Amino acid sequence: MKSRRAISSVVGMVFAIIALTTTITYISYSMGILNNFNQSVLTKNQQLTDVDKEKFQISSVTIPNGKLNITVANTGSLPIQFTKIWIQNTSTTDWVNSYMPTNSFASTGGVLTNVGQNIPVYINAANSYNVKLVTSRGNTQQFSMNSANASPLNIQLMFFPATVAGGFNTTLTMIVTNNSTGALTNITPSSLPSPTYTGSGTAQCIASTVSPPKYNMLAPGSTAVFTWNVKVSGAGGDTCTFKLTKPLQNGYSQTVQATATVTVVQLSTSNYAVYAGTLTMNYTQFEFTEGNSWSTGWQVPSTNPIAFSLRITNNNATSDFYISKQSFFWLEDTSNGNGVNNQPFYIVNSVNLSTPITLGAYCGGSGDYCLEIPHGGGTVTVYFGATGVSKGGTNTANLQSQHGYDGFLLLFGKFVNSQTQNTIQYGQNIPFVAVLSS
Amino acid sequence: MIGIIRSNKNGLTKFGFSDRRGLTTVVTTALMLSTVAVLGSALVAWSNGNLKVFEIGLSTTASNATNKISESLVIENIVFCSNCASPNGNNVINVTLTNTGTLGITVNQIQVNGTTINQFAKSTTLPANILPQTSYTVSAQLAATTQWKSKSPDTITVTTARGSVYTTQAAPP
Repeated sequence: MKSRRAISSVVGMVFAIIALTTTITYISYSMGILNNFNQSVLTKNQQLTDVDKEKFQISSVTIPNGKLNITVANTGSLPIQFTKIWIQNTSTTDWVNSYMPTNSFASTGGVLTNVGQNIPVYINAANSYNVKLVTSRGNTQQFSMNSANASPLNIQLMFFPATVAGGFNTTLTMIVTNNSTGALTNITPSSLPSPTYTGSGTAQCIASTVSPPKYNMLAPGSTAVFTWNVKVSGAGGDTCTFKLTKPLQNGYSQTVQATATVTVVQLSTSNYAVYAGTLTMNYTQFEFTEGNSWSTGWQVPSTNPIAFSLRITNNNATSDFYISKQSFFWLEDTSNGNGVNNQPFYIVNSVNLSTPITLGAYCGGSGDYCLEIPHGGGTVTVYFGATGVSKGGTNTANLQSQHGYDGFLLLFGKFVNSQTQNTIQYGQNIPFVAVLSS
Repeated sequence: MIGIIRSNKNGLTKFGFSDRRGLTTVVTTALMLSTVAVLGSALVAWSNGNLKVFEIGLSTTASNATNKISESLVIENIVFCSNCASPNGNNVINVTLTNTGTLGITVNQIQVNGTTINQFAKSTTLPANILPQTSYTVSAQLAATTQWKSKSPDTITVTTARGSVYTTQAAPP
């Protein structure tokens, strides 16, 4: 019995060892397989991470001697090997080729220059191209050359200012925003067509050359601004319109239209006078008299004593203006340079239309600040005619025969709310007046 | 049958019927040992066979999965061709595929907007083998009544023999 038990134990042990060895071998093999698979997953994951870490930016694109010259900055944390350049001529049908750049390695943080110089392709400035750089990890970056052929662009054309006086310049501005994900290069505006005119038929808008003539590079999200100086002339209400159906050279194949309109305004004297200064004079209502009636114009008589009527406006928004008797209308004799015939005409209350004229002394001859110009654009007629050293007098004077005079108005007074209120005095010179005596 | 073993006074065993019973026990033991050995060997062989099958299956599965993971295909460039086929000019899309991995890839199928392409232009065809670090351009020809439309994005889907699927979108100019 002992012998049989021993043999059974040995046999059982043998089988147990076989079973155990097989199991351990199988488990080891499985672990090895899983380890290999795990390594593959890790490797793939690392590759995907590297692809994600690979970043580069196209810094500039130029075309020296008709050949591509691309500068690329490695902005990522891994070195980059460029394996291919795709060039597609979008102006012709289906012309597309790929090339291997010889200068192709960009170290981390480095700048790679002269990419594309070895490629046997000459860039035709009249054509547009799509260029794509491909890295060894499969990343790509595309940009357009000479055009925005397939890129979403926002283009606006406008005048600054849109309303301009005849004979003056305005600025025609084209604003181009790159809303695509790829850079654009060599962005050049199309030539301006002749404008269309409306109105009197005399309008003319002459545009200068564009400035700057082109943008070498327009990164995604960036904006290019092109300007033309446009000299405008014509009659009031005239307009001129520039219309571009293809704003950029080699641009969109579909119609992109931008229209701007300029309105030409003819200025009159009142445009200058009404809106300048606190106290202003309306030149169109400048009048003079020798006694018979009030007349307008710059040709004045010299036969009899003369007086002037001027319309003065107070543009102060809060305070009335009380005019001082120190105010006078000064005419300087331009025909005699020694100043002998220079003539001041002091303010008076009134002018009686008789021949010769008689004057009412300002403030009755004793007080001051009696003539009020209401605030907020109030306008009054102010008479000037008194001469002599005593302000507030009633003496009159003639102009010299056939002399030319230029002059100005000196207004003194105070901005207050009553004649007697005291405050800081105010003085203003209102140019320019010129008359010729007959 | 039960054997009886009897002993005399000298301690010697008398064999008659009882002697035959002793021999039977040895034979039985031998038989049992033989049976155990045969059955054990058979069981071991069967187990090893099964394990081998499992091992091969595991190896194949792991290899396929590893290779599939290691596949690295890039849809590098897409050109919408206007003059690649007549009379329907705008029905060819040239898709350039680049194998950026270390394993060869067999491209079995290409789809445009979910439609499998069965016709190809420019002497291209599928399935196509792409060696590591090389490219292959497939000229997918759309159906005769179909054309790519300007500014209208198309979805390109590429399927490899290992079952990897690569998808991208591109819009014609």
